[in-house]
Amino acid sequence: MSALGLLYKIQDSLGSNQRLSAFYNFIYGEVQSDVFGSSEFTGVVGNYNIARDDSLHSGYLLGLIGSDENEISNNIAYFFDNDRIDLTSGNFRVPLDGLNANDISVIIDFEFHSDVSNGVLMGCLEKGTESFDSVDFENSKGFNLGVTDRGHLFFQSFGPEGDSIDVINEIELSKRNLIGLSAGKSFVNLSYFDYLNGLTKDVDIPIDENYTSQKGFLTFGGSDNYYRSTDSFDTTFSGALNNLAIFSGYIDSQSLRDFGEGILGEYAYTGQVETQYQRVTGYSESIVYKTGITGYEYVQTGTLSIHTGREYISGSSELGSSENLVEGERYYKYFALNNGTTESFYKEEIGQLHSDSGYIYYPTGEGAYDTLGLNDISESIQMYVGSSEIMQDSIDIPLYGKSHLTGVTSEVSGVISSPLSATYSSFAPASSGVSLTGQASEPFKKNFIYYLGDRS
Amino acid sequence: MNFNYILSTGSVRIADSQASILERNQQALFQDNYSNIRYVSLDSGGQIKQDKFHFNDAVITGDNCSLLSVNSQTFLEGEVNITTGENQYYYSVGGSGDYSTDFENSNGRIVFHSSINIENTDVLFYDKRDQSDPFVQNKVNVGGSTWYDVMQYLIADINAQDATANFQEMIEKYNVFLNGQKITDESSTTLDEVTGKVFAIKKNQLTQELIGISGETYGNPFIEHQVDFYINGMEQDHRDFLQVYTGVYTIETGVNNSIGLIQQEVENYSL
Repeated sequence: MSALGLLYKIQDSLGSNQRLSAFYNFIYGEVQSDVFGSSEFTGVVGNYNIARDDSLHSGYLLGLIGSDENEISNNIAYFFDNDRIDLTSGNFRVPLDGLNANDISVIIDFEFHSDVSNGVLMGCLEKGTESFDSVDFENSKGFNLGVTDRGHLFFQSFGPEGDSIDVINEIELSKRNLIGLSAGKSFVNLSYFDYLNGLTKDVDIPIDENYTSQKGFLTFGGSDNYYRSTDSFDTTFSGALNNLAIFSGYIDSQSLRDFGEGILGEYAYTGQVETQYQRVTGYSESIVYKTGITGYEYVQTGTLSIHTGREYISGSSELGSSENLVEGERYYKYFALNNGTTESFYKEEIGQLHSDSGYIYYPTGEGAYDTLGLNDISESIQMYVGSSEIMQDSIDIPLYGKSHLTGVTSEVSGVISSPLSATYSSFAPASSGVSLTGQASEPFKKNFIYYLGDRS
Repeated sequence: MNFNYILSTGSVRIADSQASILERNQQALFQDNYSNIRYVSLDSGGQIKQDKFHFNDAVITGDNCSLLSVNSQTFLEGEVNITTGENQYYYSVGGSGDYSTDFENSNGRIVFHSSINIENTDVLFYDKRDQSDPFVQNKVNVGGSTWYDVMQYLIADINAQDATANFQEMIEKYNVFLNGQKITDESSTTLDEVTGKVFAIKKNQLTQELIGISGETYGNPFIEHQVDFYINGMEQDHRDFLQVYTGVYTIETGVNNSIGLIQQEVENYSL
């Protein structure tokens, strides 16, 4: 249940809480003294602060009155069970404090304990006798709203033709019920709010405002004028009150149903939500030029070798293998020629003479070989190998070829438009509402099916 | 008598238990609709017949989302076929269906099979159901198949699309009808001898089925007005049932449901 939910619904529909005279959600009570003009203490349920003037319409627990303040204080908590008051422990009385019962609207959230027995749910019926020119006339104030043993609502009043009791057979009550009563000048509208089927069932009962005006009290659970009881302190109703709202003036049943949803539901508030988004602010244009040949360049593609001057011999010698040569054997001895710009060599064929011979030779005999004076001794002689070629001086001339250059030309190909964007913020308005996600559904359902037809 | 109640139980919270009274136990509207007189039905003799009952087309908005009973017998929805004539369009109901609806051209008119003639004295109730295709079997004579056999065929058909292991699971999820009569028996020698059309229609979610021989049932919370009532398999008028809270005193006949006056006075005046 939610006082904020009720307040939201009222403000959304009526613009303000000015017509909400009283709201009770029975969470706790207090002890007050001198409520009934005596020194006794009474349990009191204050008017919730969402009402127009919460200093008015404080409700009294008629089953909790005594002279011992401590005793009252100790017992008051037992009257509140799971955010409701048990009307079998005592009735709940609300002073009208300036309101008139024939010009109010009430939402009653009540629940049966188990078995349903007839009783007064809201009573303010008083009957009396007035004399005029020695003739007694019976008159009345207020009315009673109650429940029959069958579980139907009844409305009891008094009029020019006497007592009147209307039983509302069309409305089948569940274990827990939210009902509305809207009292006007010529009729009372009784309504039943079926939140499971999304229905409002209501009945109009004609009344005479001269007989239903009542400025005293509303007693929930009893009445000063009921066939089972003539004292509003006597408990008659076998159930509990979960919530109670009293409005000034007549309010239609659909609005009361909406307010009842605020009582049952959970109130939720969501603050302003900022959403950022990109928005196109314009376009930038860029010119696209064609690509192609923009020019030419010469690049070296190769070289050309051109001979200059006359031919000349160039060569060199290098060490080869070593050979053992006997004196007299012939070999080539190489000599290098270096004239500065070119190098070459010449070779001379010479006979081998041992290096230790002193180069003096005496004939060793009369043979031809002997007469030479050569000794039969060998020595290792390093040989040379020579190579030569005909050379001719030359120069390398670079060769060039034409190559084209590519790039962006000055010829226009097209135009590209690019969107420009900027970031903007939009603000979703704060939202609030009531939902029934938190309320248990079982007490509002039915659980008994009876077949009315023939069973033979 | 066999009493069979399909209760919509809702959920534990009010927000999840809300339903529309327009979607349950509504009587079909009997009316002429002159906006679609070119669309007609033919009877089995080829003559134009008047199908004047309508769904509330704000409630029944498409195919296979209605559950219709005609004089307590539940009908199977089929596919509507339209044949174009010279100046008119001719409806026919395809497959095994007993009725269909052309939402595009007929504003919720209920089109009946050519073999079915409906009078304005007939009683038609309909519910809105979750959209689903029915499963249909033909029940031939006992030499061909027993009632148990047909149930197994039906379970196999259903299981191919919606995993269903056995008969118990099938009747938990589906309402089964034989020639429009609701059946809750898996096998029956009586039904073995019956031939006709067997179809299964998926139940709505969050329902509880009660079967018994007593007309009263109590203890199972349900949403008032969201109950289907069957007696011996035939759908009943919901107005023949009271849906109340168990706490009320036992209903007695012949007892005055009013509070007697304490004192009655008569005043006589002479002028």
